[in-house]
Amino acid sequence: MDSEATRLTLTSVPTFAAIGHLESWDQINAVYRAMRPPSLAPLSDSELRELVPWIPPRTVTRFHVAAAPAAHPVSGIYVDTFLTPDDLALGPTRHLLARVDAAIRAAEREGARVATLGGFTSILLEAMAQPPLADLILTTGNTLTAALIVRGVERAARLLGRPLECETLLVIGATGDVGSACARCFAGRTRRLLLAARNRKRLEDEAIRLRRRGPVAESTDVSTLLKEATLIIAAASAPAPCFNLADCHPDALICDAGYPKNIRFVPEDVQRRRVFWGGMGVLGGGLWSDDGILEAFYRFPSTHTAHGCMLEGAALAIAERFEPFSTGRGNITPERVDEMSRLSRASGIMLAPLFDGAGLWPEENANDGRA
Amino acid sequence: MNTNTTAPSITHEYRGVFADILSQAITGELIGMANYAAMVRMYPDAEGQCDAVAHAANEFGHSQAFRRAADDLEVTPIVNLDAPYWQRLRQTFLRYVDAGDRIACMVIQEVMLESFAVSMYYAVADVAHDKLAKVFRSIGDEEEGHVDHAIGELQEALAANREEFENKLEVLHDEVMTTLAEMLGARDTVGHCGLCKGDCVKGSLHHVGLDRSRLRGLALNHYLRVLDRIGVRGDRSLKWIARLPV
Repeated sequence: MDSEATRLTLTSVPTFAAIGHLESWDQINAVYRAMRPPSLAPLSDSELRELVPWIPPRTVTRFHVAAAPAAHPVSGIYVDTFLTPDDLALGPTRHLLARVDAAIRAAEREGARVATLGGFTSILLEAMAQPPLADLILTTGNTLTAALIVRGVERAARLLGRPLECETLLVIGATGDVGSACARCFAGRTRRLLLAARNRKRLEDEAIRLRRRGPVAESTDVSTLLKEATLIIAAASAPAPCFNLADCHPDALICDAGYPKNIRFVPEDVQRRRVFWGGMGVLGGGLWSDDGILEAFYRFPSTHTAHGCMLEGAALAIAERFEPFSTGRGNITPERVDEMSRLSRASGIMLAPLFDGAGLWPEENANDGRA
Repeated sequence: MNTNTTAPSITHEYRGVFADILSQAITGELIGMANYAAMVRMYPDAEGQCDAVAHAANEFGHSQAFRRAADDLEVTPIVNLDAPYWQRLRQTFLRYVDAGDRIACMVIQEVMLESFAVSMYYAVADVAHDKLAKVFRSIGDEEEGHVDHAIGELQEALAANREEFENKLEVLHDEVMTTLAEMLGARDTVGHCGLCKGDCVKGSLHHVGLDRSRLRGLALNHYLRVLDRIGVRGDRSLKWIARLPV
């Protein structure tokens, strides 16, 4: 990574933007704690709830990424929609879409060349409601998320000595953009493939498509499949955790890639089960903000770690490939996942060490075979 | 648009709340009038001076319209330019007039005070009975025009030197928006505001379908959107907002 002096002289015009929302009120609180001078008392939850919903979408922090320690950093911004967890619970309302649109405009005003839409904000682009923009290119970031999930599952299975071909894999959210990409990448590689999603028609279509490559079963009732699956990829769009760890197979290996998380992580319920947060990557040359705000609310057990959706923008910016790599829903093929894997590796993005709600997996050794 | 589906009943509580709101509005407009009048000498040319005079007259006209609305409602508003919050705002403004800093004066009057006024007037118009709602809405529309009037010149000032402009705005924010936030805050730092007839009106707003935290939120939202239109970086204005009193 470059010296502190170099970081401070970086241009303020960002090359890429990560658009998103915070996952919980705790995370929102962390942002404001970091922003308020130490002489002022932290805002209470009720004070935050009075303030945050009124803030128009805007840049929250400026940060930099680098492909390698000696590489030239690329500048980015994190633009928050200021959608609250309470807003997300209401589903895709006009209010939500208007906020995503305003966040895109904020990124455009900043001069970013490519913007990724993280978490719930990707619904705008998945629905192909691409707003007319002069110079800003949008990508959902879903292809890199899917690529990191696939690499994470492969690594977890390897670390635990569990051959994939012996596993019954359940994909929750199997008709979503990320879930369908993961299902396609693993079709024919596991003993059985179980697909769960809310939309029956889309689910049946996806199952028919994948059945050519191996045994596939599908259901809109996740609860029965949870007990059967020994390997689970949870990639549903849900405003809050909606599945209990205790309801999963006693030996389940679970990749929770939801944002917010799909599975309620209760340490007592782990027992023989193993859980990791999927879709996470690390920047080889670092990820740091000018003002320390990013580090205050975006914290993981390993450093320089970020969600795949955010990193897809970084990968495209580092590679100077300003293109809408991920758009629409259900368009991500295994070939596109491979292409993004190669692109992200070349941009210094590796799979993050595996971790769950309690911290890093004990089996993890830093930088051990994760690329 | 009045969001009330039925006309509100004009009760004793209703009159009491609107008397206090009108006291704030009339006093605020007269402060605005005095501020624009003080700005006359800051313009080197007759055109600019006439413009400031016209704005001052306009603000006076608004205060008169609010007085008439008070008469219609059969309430007597309190007009007190020495009310602690307003006096503090006025003194800050005059300091920048004395310093000959026209940009600072525009920011205080046309961005900060007008954001506060416009958002409050529209919110009040949404709950008031038809005649009063029309007064608040039409004055809100005119005040919005003041904000628009300032944007172009402030954009030019920002383009000339972004860092210097944003630094100046930060200082003004801490001085002026802190006072405005206190006016709509849960706790008053000055004791009685000098305009409410009895207890603080903030505790009675629910009688007319208003809510202190909503008014505060609307004012901050309007202010931030104006800063965005000027081109102030969002991460800077967010930090300013984060340290306002609640």
